[in-house]
Amino acid sequence: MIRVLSWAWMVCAVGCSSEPVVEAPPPPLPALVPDSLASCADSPYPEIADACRVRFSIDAGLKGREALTWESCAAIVSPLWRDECHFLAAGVLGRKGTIGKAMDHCVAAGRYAQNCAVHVAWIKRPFILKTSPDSVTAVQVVQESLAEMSAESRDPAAPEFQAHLDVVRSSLWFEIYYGAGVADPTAAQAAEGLMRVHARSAFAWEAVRLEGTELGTVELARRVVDIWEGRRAPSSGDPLSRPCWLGRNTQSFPAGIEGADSAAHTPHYGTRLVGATEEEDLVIATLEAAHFAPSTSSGAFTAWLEDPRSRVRTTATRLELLLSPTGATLPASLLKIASRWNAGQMESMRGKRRPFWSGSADRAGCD
Amino acid sequence: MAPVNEVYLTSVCSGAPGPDAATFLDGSMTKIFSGLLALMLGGAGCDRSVETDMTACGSQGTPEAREECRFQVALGLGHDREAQGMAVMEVPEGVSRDLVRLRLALHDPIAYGRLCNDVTVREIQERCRMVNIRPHLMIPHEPNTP
Repeated sequence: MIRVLSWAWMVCAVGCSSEPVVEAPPPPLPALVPDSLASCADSPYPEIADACRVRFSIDAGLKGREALTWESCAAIVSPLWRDECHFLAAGVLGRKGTIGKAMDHCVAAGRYAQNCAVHVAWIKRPFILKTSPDSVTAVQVVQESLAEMSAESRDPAAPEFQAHLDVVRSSLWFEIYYGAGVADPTAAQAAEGLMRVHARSAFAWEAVRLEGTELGTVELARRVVDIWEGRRAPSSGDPLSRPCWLGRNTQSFPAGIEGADSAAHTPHYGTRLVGATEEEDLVIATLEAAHFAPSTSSGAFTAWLEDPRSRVRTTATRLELLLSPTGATLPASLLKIASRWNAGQMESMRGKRRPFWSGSADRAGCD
Repeated sequence: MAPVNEVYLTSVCSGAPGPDAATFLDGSMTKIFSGLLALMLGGAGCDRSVETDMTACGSQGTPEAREECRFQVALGLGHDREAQGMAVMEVPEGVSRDLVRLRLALHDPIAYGRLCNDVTVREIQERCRMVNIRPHLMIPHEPNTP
């Protein structure tokens, strides 16, 4: 027994002391830029193996090996990192000038698909800046960009590709107008069909920025319509450089809301309803533009809650809901409209505190 | 990639008696000794619970198993940031500690992406950039696709 206790004491003297002993190192991490896709599977950690595949995909994209970018992204186990892989591959291929191949990756980017399409449109900015709001050439510049994307795509006729092309369409028009320092409707009025809807949106965004949200949405809408119809001179003021662009994100109209099926995409990760007439659509675009402005607060849209045009009422209700703090008392007129929506639709309309949309991560020097 | 060649230190208190001790004992003695040792180690603060105690992971047979154990312990604490931060700090070695942070950040950037801010080992910082420079990864996803 004494011998046993001696052993126990001796082992515990070692085992329970705080003296450190050498611990074998963890298995090495894969190379920062892996040599092969297969080498990523050597990591015993599934998260790091997936990250390795993302890195391999980026490297393949930089080398112009498009097929390998697809192979690497497909090998990723985590759905989130698979989406991110496609988003990153789109960025790399887009910057290499293969904008249609980039869009194909965006379509596969799942949760980041819309974000990806907006980024691809940003890549076209230098080309887009060949035109301006006062030039009828804007339509041609946008059309050329869209045609280039479709020509390079694997499946340009696919509905998913066309839907993302609509995001790009809205983003390209936004790039032409926003921050330009002039809200001249000339460029937008040269557009037709769906292109004209996005052009009107972009025109309204810049007009609202230049006129100022302190006017209130009723006066803003009146001015925007007047400028469009030539009764008022185009808004003008200081240009705003892209890194200083800042506004609210929106979200897509939930299915089942009147007009949601034909809603147009916005560059800010959402959709907006399209008015039945040009004037109605300008009002809707103005309200959406006012919501984008960070200075707009709850109550800005209540004047529109009893508008005779249903899509204007719905837009005002949605935007008011987006701005209403959780638990806030909502106007009776708003509740009357919202009462037609089911719980899921209502929930997707309620205000969620989401990060602002910005033109750059670095806003140094901006107000 | 530069090899990870730092010295890896830990306290034996975090694990079971090493194999060297066991080889001195025959079968009958092992049972007596194990019971006695467990009693003594427990009383001395060496109590361990493999599923929740980060320090216990040091006793795992292989470095892979040890790192996996640490990752799972941290993951098991869910979104309790304070408990998680303390658990990660219990990992006795810097590379292993940062490896837990990196794996958590990659596993769920929304919940754990912020842990990359605490990483100090350069090799792991480089891999954390994948999370740090992509802020959308840390934003909860809303169904908003076209």
